Amino acid sequence: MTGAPLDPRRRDAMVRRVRNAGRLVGIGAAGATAALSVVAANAFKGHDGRKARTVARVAASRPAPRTSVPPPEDVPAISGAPAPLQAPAAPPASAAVPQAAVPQEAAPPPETSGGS
Amino acid sequence: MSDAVARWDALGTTAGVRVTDPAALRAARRAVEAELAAIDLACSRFRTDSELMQVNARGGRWTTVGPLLSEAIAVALRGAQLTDGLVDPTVGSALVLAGYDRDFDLGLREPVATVAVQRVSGWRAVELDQQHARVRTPAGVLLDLGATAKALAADRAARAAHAAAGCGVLVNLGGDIALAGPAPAAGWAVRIADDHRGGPGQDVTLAAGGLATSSTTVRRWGERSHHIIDPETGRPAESPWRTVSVAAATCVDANIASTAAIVRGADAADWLAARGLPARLVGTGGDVACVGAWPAEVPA
Repeated sequence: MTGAPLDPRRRDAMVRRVRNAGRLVGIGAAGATAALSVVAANAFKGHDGRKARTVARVAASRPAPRTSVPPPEDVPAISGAPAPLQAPAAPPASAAVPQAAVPQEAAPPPETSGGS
Repeated sequence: MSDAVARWDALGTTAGVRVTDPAALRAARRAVEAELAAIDLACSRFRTDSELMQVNARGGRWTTVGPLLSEAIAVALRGAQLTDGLVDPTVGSALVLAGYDRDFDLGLREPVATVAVQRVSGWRAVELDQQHARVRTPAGVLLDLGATAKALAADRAARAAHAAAGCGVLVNLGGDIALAGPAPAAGWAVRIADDHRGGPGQDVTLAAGGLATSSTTVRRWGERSHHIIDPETGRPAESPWRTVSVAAATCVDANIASTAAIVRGADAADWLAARGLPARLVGTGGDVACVGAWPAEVPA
């Protein structure tokens, strides 16, 4: 089935309407995108761009952290000579050999000095 | 009347208190426990709430410290000065590098990667201001008071226990022994061994002062690592002596001398003799050398 041939002027008018409608849709989409972006940007609390720039400037103005070790001449001398190591009042003595007649079962075992 | 003894675990080792009056044992133990709790809170390298950890975390800055940590650091610095740095409290980083970075009971491992030799920064870098109760170490320096703080705890605990119990007291902290008050008539019986938990050795008696034993045969991990660091190399000491026992006027002095002897090596016997300290040195092969007034071993 075929219709009557379309009038060229009417056809051109229809094409212009379609073209204008497309432009309007594009402009509307761009506007909606911008509006939604603003809404999304304010939906959550995030970093403040101005504050971030401030921090960056402060950080940049500080010198790199350094580890300083006091030189030997800065270490105060210990006043006076320390007391020397002192010998005991009585040195250790050999333990007496246990006598067979003396009951040993009641005595707790001796202390042990060894590495720990 | 026999003496009485109590033993328990503390400071990562075994604690014991012995009294000449059994009725005073409870009071003596309470006094010792209080001292050990205080020293642990002040000087532990493994408690996040210890004062020493605060000092180590604030390298390069002054840190206010309590009187007990101040005393412990002063004792450690005295030990370093008297041994020309052989007993050095700044070996903390070297111990960590060697793998001793946690409580020993949790298990230690030697580092997998090769660790570069680090020379210990040295005790002279530690600033102790006792007048203002503060200390400062260079950034990156870790203090370890293990060599002297345990002996200091033994001396303090013995005095406190004697004051509380009113009788003769012997305190034994992992082989570091301190006496206070009158000893039994026959003296305190002590076995000298490689390991404070027992084993073969020499039996002696003590009447006064302190006794300490340092050994590379215990507190070992991996193939070669142990807890006695040579500050010159930053590595576990390679010594011809495996165990050194020293008697002195205090347990602190005995501990300083025994630790220094292990690190000093071949001429340790002469060094101890020059200071008049009775000592017993056991070589890596088991040969025994007695120094000064230390009694010769009686054949069994």
